[in-house]
Amino acid sequence: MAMLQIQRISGVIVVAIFASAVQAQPAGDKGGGTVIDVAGTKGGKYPIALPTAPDNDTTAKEISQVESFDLNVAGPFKVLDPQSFLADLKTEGLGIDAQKWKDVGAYGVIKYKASADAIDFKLYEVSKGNKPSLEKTYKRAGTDTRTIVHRWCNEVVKYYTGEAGFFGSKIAFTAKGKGQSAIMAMDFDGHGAYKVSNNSSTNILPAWSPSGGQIAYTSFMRSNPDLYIAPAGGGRPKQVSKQRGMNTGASWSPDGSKIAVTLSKDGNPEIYVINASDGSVISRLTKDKAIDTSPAWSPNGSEIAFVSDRNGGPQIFVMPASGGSAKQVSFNGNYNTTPTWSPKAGKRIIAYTTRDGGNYDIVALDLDSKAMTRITQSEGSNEEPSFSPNGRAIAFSRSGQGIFIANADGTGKAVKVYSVSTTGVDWGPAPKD
Amino acid sequence: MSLKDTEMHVVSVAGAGILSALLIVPVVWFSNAAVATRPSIDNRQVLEATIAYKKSPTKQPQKVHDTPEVVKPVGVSHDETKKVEEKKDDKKKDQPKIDPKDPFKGLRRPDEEAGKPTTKPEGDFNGSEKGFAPTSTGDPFFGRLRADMNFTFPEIAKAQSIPIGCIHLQADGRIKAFTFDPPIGKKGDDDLQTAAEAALTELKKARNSNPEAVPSHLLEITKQWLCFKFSVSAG
Repeated sequence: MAMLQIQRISGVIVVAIFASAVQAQPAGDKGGGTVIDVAGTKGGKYPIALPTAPDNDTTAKEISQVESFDLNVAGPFKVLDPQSFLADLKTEGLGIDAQKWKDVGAYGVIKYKASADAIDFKLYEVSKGNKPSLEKTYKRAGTDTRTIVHRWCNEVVKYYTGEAGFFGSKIAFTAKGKGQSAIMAMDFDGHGAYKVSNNSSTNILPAWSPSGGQIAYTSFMRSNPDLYIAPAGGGRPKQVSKQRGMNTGASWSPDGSKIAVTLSKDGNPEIYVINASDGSVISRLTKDKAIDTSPAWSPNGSEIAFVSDRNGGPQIFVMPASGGSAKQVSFNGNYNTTPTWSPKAGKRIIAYTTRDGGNYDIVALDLDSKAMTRITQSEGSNEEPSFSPNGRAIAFSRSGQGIFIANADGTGKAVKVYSVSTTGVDWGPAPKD
Repeated sequence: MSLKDTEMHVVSVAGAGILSALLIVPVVWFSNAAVATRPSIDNRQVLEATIAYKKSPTKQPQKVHDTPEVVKPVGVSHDETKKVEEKKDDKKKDQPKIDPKDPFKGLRRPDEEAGKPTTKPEGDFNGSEKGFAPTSTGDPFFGRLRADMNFTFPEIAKAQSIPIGCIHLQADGRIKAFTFDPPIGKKGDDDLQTAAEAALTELKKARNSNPEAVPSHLLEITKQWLCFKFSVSAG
């Protein structure tokens, strides 16, 4: 009897094991097929094709050249080599054969047609077939071709990123000459350079007003380094601050009403805030035996970065815009200067010049995450960075070579836009269309 | 005066005895004295002492070899005029002729089963079957397939669906064709579809120029479409 019970129990156990084995088979098994996950992360450039219009005249070439430069330096795009294109551009006209563009690896294609009156642009995303995703027509009367193409490229950048583009913006800088230095300004791509300062003295450290209508700079035209404000197009400047000693390194507040500046009227160089209209001193922000200079107002107006050697060599400090306790933020190496804030909303990123060995390079530091990005390395001596209006690019001066533009994320190679020995680079605000 | 022999013997014996006593008694006396002054053995500690010296290298035992036989050359002629014999061809044994179409002809076992020969080791491809079973990503073969796609997705490109691309993979590793199923999610007219198409194009190109045969334990995947689900996350 006992044996019979044991046998019964054993049988139950065996059945239970078998049943659970059957249950363990994966649900939904329809016969042994395989699906493999291919999971990627977003990154890398967006391949875009910019074919030259078939008529290939001077206007077409200029449009292609400006478009190609703009989207190349914009940051997120990889402009494809026209030699690789397979499509018959004459047959396509303003449309596209999507498969032909997919075959060369393009995700986007821009077509245009220029007439005497207007230029039509069409942006195609090859995944959507031959229906344009974005199209615009620009009247040519009173507007040069370059400006029109810059405006179109800004639209393309905004379509893809939601951000405003910086094409059509300007860069101010100090150009060195024999026994003098002049304040100059040019299109961000190096075209149309012109003189802003109107004297043959030493003029340094230009700073665009937030509106883009004025440029502040320090000039020795009256022997003392005084602060002047001139119209952005050049012309007679207004003497704004003529304190005894230094009046240098102007940085505008975001609303354009105030200027942070270095004055040495009380002994050693300190940071002050003055009225932009008349130069009257509003407040003194630093009181230290050390040298405090190169103020940079943050985009939201709440903080000011500056350079101080209070802890030894020159380092970057940040303090409240109303003054108060300053905190050192740069710790790499023993020489860090010329801070500038990224305009990217919600981010506290500063780019500055750092000395590495015998050379100077540009780095960008996220003050919150402490992540540092190297913008230049082993490519000459690079100084005085300035962010583009959307924060995606950085302009800087390379000693003896000129002005370069690099991606603010540190990728890619810097592009030269101006070939004269320069210092004091400052990128102006976004263009008002 | 002369002594008699007997007397001489007595004198010599006596003399030997006296001489012996003179020799033995001091020895015994001094030995006993030494023993008396020696400490008791019970108070002594036994020490072992060894002396180390350089061991002379010992030779391993050697194998005894038989002395090789001296082979005397046979037929060496010292006759300069003797002609050299021509080399005789090796006699080849008669080898059975092998039928390339049936190499086992004549060698079959009497109990061999007469089944149809297998022409396709992987079985026929069933184009109506697609793999929708749970994901199998562990095998290195699949990892290499993924790698050969060079799947990339630009930062600013748009992904609104999950494309599903399927390949017909042959046993020799070549890809005969690929196709796309309707994507998961929104209609697949976004950049992820473009990226997925580019990835499978790249995979087909790579594998057809440099195929990697499907491992035997995975040959089942050649009987139906092998599918890939493409997705991206923010970097």
